[in-house]
Amino acid sequence: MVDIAAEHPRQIGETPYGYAGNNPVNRIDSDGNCWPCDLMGPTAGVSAYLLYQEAKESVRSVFGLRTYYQGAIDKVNNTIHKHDPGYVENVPAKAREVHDKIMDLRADIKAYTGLLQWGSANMTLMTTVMGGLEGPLGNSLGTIRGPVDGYSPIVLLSGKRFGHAFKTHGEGRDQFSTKTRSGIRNATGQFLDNQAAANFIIGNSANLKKGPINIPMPEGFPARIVNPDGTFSTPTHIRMIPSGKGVWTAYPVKL
Amino acid sequence: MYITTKTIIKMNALLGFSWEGFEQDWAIEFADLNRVEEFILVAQTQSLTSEEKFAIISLILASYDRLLDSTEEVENHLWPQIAQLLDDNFEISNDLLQYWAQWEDERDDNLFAITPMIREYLAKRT
Repeated sequence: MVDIAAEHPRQIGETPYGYAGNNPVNRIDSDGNCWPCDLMGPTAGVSAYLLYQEAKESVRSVFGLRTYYQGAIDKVNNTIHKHDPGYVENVPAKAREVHDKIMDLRADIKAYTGLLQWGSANMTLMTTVMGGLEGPLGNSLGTIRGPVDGYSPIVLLSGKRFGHAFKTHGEGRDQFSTKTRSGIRNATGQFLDNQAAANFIIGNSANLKKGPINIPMPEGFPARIVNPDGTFSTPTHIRMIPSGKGVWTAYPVKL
Repeated sequence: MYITTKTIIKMNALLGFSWEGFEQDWAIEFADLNRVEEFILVAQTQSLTSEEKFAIISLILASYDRLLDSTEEVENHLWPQIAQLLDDNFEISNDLLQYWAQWEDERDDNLFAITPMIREYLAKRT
């Protein structure tokens, strides 16, 4: 079986066995799109349970990695700021570039974690429905396939839909980025969870018809204001600038 | 290079923008696809400081991006003027150009409308 995504730019240089979850010996993928779908056979109950256990382990290990990674990054940021509050000014462009790439990687890990959580949740559902192989297996699978196939847990953060919102004010775009990329040195809003922000923007899209709007930010929403001196404060609103397809930009603001 | 509040206030007066004071993405928020030529003219004819040039070039790029985004049929007579402006102010514009080039992005749906032109411009300079 040829991996249909083998030529994708992000796949080049990666394992050619990704289509089978890196286990091409034990897993069969008849069309290259969904190896778990081929498990929907007579032994689906057992296979699904094993799959669920595997997914659970994956989620656990990614959570561990993420916690460690995020802690390390935060520690470095705080240490640098403590010893050199003017580091935004002092760090050369190359270092900023490396820092930005690390932040991007952190965002990727978070998205991956979300995907695994979703997979784990659905494996639980599958195991429950098929538990003990009670009832007609075919009917159970019919019930599962619909919602699983139609479910989209992660919002694609496309530039065409969200404009500059996440490129300038997104998770991981810290003081370095807000200085160099937005071009403005004033206090700058930053989303701390791009998926939460994307859902907020989508959820308020009906309010965008009248032009730019400031919407009160829900309490506890993951966002902050990065002040020019490196300190943080809490935003009160999220400002959105509508485009025909979504927003040109959106950011947390303190009014 | 960045846009200070002082620069924003001056540019607002020059261009007739109504600014409330809390806007963070000045160039993106005031970009206007119908005023690209006028913004270019201001950059070409007004006596501006480096910061003010940076601000007007930010505004021109954001406005031209919006113009490209609005239609597939764009009169490209504006681009040579913009490219000349970038040539004349390359040091000032470089950070902006790197931002709009979006080098780290590969997905077409994640690129700005102006991104391919910026990438081509930068490639020609190297």
